[in-house]
Amino acid sequence: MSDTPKLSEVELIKTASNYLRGTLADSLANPITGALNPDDTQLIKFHGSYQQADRDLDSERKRQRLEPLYSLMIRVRVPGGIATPTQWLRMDELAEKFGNNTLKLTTRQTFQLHGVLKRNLKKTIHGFNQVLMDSIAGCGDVNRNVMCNPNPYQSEVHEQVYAASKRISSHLTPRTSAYWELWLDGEQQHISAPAEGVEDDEPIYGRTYLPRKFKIALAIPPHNDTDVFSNDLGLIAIEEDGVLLGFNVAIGGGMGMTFGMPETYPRLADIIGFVPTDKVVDLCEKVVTIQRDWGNRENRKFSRLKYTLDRLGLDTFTTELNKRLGYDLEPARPYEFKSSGDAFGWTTGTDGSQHLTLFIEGGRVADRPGHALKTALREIAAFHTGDFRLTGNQNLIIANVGPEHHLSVQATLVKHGIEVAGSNLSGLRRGALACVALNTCSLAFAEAERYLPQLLTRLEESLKTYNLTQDDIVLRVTGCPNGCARPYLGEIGLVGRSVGRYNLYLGASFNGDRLNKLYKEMLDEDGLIETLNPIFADYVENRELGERFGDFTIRKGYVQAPTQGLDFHA
Amino acid sequence: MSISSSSGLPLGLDDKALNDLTASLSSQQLVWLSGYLYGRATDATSTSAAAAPAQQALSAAVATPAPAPAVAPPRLTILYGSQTGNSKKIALQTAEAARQRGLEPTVRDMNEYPTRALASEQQLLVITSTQGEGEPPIAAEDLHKFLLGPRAPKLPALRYSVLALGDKSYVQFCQTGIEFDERLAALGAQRLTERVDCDVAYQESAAEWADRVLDVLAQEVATATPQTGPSTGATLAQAAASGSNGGSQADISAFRVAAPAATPAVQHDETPIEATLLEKIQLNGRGSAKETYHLEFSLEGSGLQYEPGDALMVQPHNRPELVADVLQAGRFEASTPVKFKGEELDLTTALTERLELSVLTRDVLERYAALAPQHPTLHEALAGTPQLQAFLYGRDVVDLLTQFPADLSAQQLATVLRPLPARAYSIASSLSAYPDEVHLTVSAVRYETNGRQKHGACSVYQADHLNIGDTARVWVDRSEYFKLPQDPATDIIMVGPGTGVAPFRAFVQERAETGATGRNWLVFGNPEFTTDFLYQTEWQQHLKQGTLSRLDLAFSRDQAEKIYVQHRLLEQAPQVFKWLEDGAHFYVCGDKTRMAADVRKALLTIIQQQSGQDSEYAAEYLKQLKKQRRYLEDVY
Repeated sequence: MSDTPKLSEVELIKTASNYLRGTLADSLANPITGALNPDDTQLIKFHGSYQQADRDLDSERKRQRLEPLYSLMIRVRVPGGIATPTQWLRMDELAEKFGNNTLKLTTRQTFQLHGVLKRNLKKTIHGFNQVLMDSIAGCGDVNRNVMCNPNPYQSEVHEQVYAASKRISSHLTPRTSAYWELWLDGEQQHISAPAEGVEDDEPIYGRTYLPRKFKIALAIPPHNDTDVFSNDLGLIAIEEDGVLLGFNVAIGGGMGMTFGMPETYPRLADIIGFVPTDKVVDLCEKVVTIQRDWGNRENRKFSRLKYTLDRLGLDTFTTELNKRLGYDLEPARPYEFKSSGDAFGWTTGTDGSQHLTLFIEGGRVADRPGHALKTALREIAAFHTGDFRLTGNQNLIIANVGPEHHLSVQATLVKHGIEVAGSNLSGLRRGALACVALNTCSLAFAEAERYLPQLLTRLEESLKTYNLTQDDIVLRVTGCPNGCARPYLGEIGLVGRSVGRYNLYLGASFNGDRLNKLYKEMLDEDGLIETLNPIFADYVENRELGERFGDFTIRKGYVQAPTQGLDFHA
Repeated sequence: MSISSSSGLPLGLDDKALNDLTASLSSQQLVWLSGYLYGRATDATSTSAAAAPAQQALSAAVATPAPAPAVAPPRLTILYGSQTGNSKKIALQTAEAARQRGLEPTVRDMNEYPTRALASEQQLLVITSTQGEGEPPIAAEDLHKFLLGPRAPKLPALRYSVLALGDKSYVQFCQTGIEFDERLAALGAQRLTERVDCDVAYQESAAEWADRVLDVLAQEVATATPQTGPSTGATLAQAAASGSNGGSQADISAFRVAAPAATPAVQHDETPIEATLLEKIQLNGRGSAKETYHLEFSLEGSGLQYEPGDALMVQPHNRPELVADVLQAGRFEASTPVKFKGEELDLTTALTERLELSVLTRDVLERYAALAPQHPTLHEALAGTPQLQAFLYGRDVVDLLTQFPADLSAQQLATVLRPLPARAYSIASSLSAYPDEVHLTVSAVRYETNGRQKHGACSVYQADHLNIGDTARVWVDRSEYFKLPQDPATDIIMVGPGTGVAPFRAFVQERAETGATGRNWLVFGNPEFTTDFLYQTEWQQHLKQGTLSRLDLAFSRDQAEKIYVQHRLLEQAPQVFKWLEDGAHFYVCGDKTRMAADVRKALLTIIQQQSGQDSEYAAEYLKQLKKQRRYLEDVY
């Protein structure tokens, strides 16, 4: 057997792409199809976009002699999740003009536009850039949007952590001028604009970039709303009297797995030490570059950092990391996470400013009859002097509302039918996450975002029966096992197997530090309700004081607590 | 054709010599010739007893169709101006009928007719169609212009008759024929018989016209010539061709023989068949403003043949709702028996299957107005073309009955209305690709006028009422000129926005199946890329396989400024011109009034720009393309 590794198809495409150009220019100019050349569908991800098709229409259009209704999803990076009102207005406008007139707030604090036709892609990206937003590295084998707890009420610490996340983000942004060339006509200001006489070069990534995507999140205890342990690299802020000292470093988290391949699994990150604030950017670079060098480039199913770690051992990795850092990481400091969810309604920060956290069902900002959320937010953005913060739970904080605007924000929301505090909603609905899934995601086996509201309505009947309506229980639904809505961190996790059928996972912790475990397979909606009802009954009857639903299902033995990814399937 | 040497041919007249002699003759001429020779061989009293050398006889026969009788009859020329081939068809049939009467006609195409020849004509039968809003067919343009212009000669010695083809749903019905007729009279020519104007179903009127005028001519010949018996080649040719043994032909009409109703399928393709609908697909994606259907009919067992470029005639039924509206508007009893074309029917059946209800035409309005003198508006509308156009636009029979009530009986209604004509659709498939099938691309016509929803009779019949498994009455309408180039190596440029793409689907299928080496360039347009790209995946396949060389697209609503096919042509001006210079044929199919005119204009601009010449040169260039039948339109 040859020792020469057989590189995966995507590796070959990256290698030949001339720093992510490929034949994208030709693809965009080809008027015969709404699709890109096949190889370019890999490269477009690095520019922040996925080619998708409306799967609801596939068979109908095939009969109509029409190709699939191709469109592009574009993900706009928002490091730390903070956008200005100007940026919000621009996103609102671009969604209407070129997208499907909705904005998806993602579980990684980005905006997604859906349904953008190929011919409008450039105009859309142009539009972001004019308000200093971009989509580069929104997807692809690079560091993705850097998440940061958006919490505005611990304002001083937040300011410092947020600053760190922005520094990390820009340090790890690809340098190729392909983005500037393709989308900005080689004219506008952007980080990817090349310096005069300098050839394209990727000092961190190299010309083949990373073996697979790479995710970084920062969290400020006690809030784990960024689900730090689900990231390749999680940074837990350690503060003392409002001063940020540094971060506990956790590596090797990741959600995705493949059905029928038990050697793939979700994994939570391991804490390997502490890094002071001034060294955190360098630490990120070193972790990324070890993964660049050591990660699997033959089989993309095993390319994430978590598999590199489990293949080589955590010790081997940390030894190499210390070597490349030139110093040994200090031991991790104590911290405590209490929850991974958001608290809704108005709060006042340490500096006295006002913030409103709004529940956004499925993260979808849209106008629906009697519920004109998109319009309401557009009207607010027109006078709002603070900012908008996207949370890791697909919700939105209207932050730093001036005292003179408090009433107007409130009134605007009420006028358009938006419940401000979300207190009329069940705890289950408030904390639920869903990925996009059908009809646009090509990976989905089952519904998620579109189906979640109606599933919740069914579940709420049960909750009402057992008097659990106001209990916060973390529910996460995805249409496939790849994990976009972090389903393996749900106290109740549903992962789509086929249309209308889900695997049911139970037992994750409320604060995101323990994975759940498979309880039942291939349940339809009735099966789900019938399975969950007795557990709800048991929970109401037998829970200990303050005991969370996930912890209860472990204690009562519905599932065995998984200790780490490798025993997820055990 | 091969002739065995054992048949005893005279010296010097072998296969090759015969082939050389007859190479330029059409099949009809060959048939005639065989009859002539047969006549020579069997007629003992023939002047050919002098035994002229065979070659001499052949030359004579080809040059002048029959041996001259005692008194030379006046020259008879049948001159046709044809767009789709119908006029040509009639011209050839008329010629055949003339020969049966012992006449010696020459058939000429206006497209190749030298205008100066007009002055020396003696008897002229003119057969011409009218295009659109009263324009002559392209082939007739030159002659029409010359004749109506100041350079036309006085023609006092000429005797003539005109057969005009048209479509009564157009206001300028048979305009070109009328103009020829009136102008010839004005130049001093004598009418042999009155002009006949034919509607879409022309066969019967055309046959009657031909019989009448040919009878007049034959009669003259008969009285001027001593009775020599049925000794002309033409007579014998007819005998040989038809298998009858001659006799008096005066009452035998070639048309009656050919007419579908009279005898079984002489022209098999024009015999209606009941075709089963195999498939019906709405081609436009969701959210489109368009409603275009792809229909696939079975031809299995029918023997019906067609070629790319031909049209399929579809006989619609009127919508039951429209029939009910007519019954209600005129307060008719649904089951009243009426007579229609010698047939006894109940009124509902007549309204559903026999009578045009969706479109009003001048003749219908004239007949209706005559029965409704109480409505001066109707008579005012008939006073002139602009008023008539305005009145007819968007009005149907229900509007007429509702807005201008007249106390008609059911029988009067059946007499006032015109027969429900079949509609022609450019065939969208090739038999080589789909044996036993014929495909159509049909846009459903729906709009609102006079406060009522209107539906295109035939398009909506197919869109709404014809279901998979149902049968429709269809037949082929042959296109004479709108055909693929004879030479498979010739390049073609096809401009077909909207449903105009239909014949090009057939063209490309045919050229793919036959391995034609000429390049195929399609220019397509419609409102939106995502929903209105008709046959998108098929074109993608053709591009991939190289059976389509170029595809240019104009989606008018995909950007702020409207982009149409003519803009794409202009963008590609150097290529378009190069293709034309290299001999490409240029086809246009689809909307007549705007698109085809815009494409013509764009083409003129391209020719002028690319040749570096003036507009006159461009006009002449385009005219030559038309005359060479390299610029071809199928527009509606």
